Amino acid sequence: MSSPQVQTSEVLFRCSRIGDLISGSEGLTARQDDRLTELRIKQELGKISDTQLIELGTLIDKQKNVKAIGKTTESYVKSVWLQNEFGYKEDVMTDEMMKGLLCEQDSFGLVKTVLGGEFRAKNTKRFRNEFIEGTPDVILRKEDYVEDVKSSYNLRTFTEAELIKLYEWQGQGYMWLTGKKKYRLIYCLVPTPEEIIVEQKKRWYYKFNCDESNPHYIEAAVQIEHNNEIVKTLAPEFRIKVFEFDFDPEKIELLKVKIQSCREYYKTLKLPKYKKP
Amino acid sequence: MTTPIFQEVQDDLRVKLENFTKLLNKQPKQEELHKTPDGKAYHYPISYVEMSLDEIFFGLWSTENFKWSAIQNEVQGSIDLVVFHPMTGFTIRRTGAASVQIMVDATPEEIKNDKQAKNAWSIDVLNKKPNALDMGFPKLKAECVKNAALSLGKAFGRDINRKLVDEFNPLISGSDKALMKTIESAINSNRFESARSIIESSKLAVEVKNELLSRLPKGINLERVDSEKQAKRILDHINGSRSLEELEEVYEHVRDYNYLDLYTQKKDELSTSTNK
Repeated sequence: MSSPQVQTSEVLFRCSRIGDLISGSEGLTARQDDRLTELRIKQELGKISDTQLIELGTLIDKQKNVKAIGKTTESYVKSVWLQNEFGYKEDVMTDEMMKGLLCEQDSFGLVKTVLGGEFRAKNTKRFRNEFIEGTPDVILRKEDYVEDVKSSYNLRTFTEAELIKLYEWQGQGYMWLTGKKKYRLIYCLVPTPEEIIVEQKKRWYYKFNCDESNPHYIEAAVQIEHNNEIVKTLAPEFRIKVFEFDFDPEKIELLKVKIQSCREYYKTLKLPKYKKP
Repeated sequence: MTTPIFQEVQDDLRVKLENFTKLLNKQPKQEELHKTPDGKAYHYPISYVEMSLDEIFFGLWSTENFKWSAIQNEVQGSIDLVVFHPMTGFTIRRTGAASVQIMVDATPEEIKNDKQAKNAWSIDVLNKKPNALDMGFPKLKAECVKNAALSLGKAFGRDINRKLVDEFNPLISGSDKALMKTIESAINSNRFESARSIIESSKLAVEVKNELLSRLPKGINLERVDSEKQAKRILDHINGSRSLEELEEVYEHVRDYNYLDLYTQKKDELSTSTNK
C-alpha cells in the first residue's frame, strides 16, 4: 500500500493541501453512484420521468466533474508551479500558525495526559509516494494510528473546531503515505505562549499611538491576559476534541484521478508573453 | 542652534569622556601599592605608573621640558607629562615636580647628636658621594613623572596617602540609578516597548544596555522551542515511567537529547524492582 520514499519526476502535492485539489469535485458518493445506475437503466427502458431525467443529468455532470479543475485548485496548482519553476513562495506566519508551532509539544503532552497510550514524539520524517508528500505529526508505533494535533488559537476557535474537509483529506493522505489505517485529528487548547501574548498586546499598543497609559490599551491588554488565563483553569479533559476516521481507498482513487488532471493542467502553465496587438 | 544630530554626537562624546574619566579614577590594585622606605606612607612605583599610562593612553604619552636645578644638597626638577586623550585626540599636559637629596657620606658619630653640625655635613659638597647622582638624577625624573601622572586621576595613585578624598561623581550617568529604576519598573510591569525605547535612547554604557535588552522578550526560534519542550517531555517520561515497556517508548530519542545515562539508570531501577 504505502511506498514511502519514491523518486518521481512528476509534481508532488502536499498532504496539507490535497483538500484544495479535491475542492468542489469529489465525484459521486456510493449512494449517488447506485442512483445513477438505476436512472440509466430507467432511461434505457424508456421509463424515466422528466424530474428523473434532470436528476440523471445532474449526476452525470457531477461524475464528470471529478476531472474538472475549480478556481481553488487552479490557484493552488499555480502556486506549486511558481515555487517549482522559480522558487517563488509567499511566506505567511499568522499568530495562529505561530501558536501551532510553538505549542505542538504542549499539545502532545495534553494528548498523552487525556487519551493515554504511548509517548507522542514529533515525527520529522517526510514521506512521499508517486502523488503526494507530507510529514505527519505523530505516527504511533503500537497502534495503527496516525495523529494530527492542532493547537487551537483560543477558547472560541477551540469550541468551533470541527472535522473539516481539508483536514479529512490531509488525514487520508497521511494514511496513504504511512500505511496506517486509522486517523485521529485532535484539537488541543493549551495556554498561548508569552511571545504571542506580547504580539497581541503590541497591536493594541500601536493602535493607541504607543501610549501604554491609554485606558483602551490597558483594557485590551488585561482582556488578552484574561482570555489566556481561562485556558489554564480548565481541566485537561475539557481542552481536547478528537475526530477519528478510517483509511478510505476509494477516496485515494479519486485523489489519483484528480492529481492526474492537476498535473496536466500544471504542464500547461507558463508565464504570459506579451504579443503586439 | 544645536541640531538634533549634533546634540546626539555631542551627548555621545560627553558620555565617552565621562566613561574615560571614570577609568582614570579607578583605584589602583592594593598589591601594586608599596610602602615608602620610612614605612609611614604608600607610593605607586614608577613601573606601574608607566604601564598604566601605556594601558590607558595606548602608549600615546611622552614627557617634555624636564628642568632641574641644585639647591644645596638637593636637586629639584619639573617635567611636563603629555598624554593624548583617546576620545578627543587632544593632548593633555600636566606638570610634575619633585626633588631628591644628594647622597653624602654617613654622618660621623661625634656630630650625630648636633643638629646644626649634622646639617652642615649634609650640605658640604666635599661630603657628597662620588656617584650620588647616578641613581639620584633618574629618580628625580621618575618622581616628576609620578607627580605629574597622579594629577590625571586616582588610577595613578592620586589619593593613596590622603585622608580626605573626594569621589568622581559622573554628571551624566549620575542619574543612572533613577533611570534604572524606571527601566526595571517598565520591565516588571511587562511594558517592554517602553523599556526598550528608554534603554535604547539612554546614555547607559553599552554593556549595561545589552544586559537590559537581553531581559526583554526575544525573537522566537521555533526549532529551539520545540526541541527544548520535547527534551523536557522525554525527561519527564523517563522519570515517570513505571514499567520497562513504558520507558522503552522514548528509547529512540534518548541519544538525541543526551539522556542515555539517565535512561539506562532508570532501566536498571525498573529491572531491579521487576526482579524483586
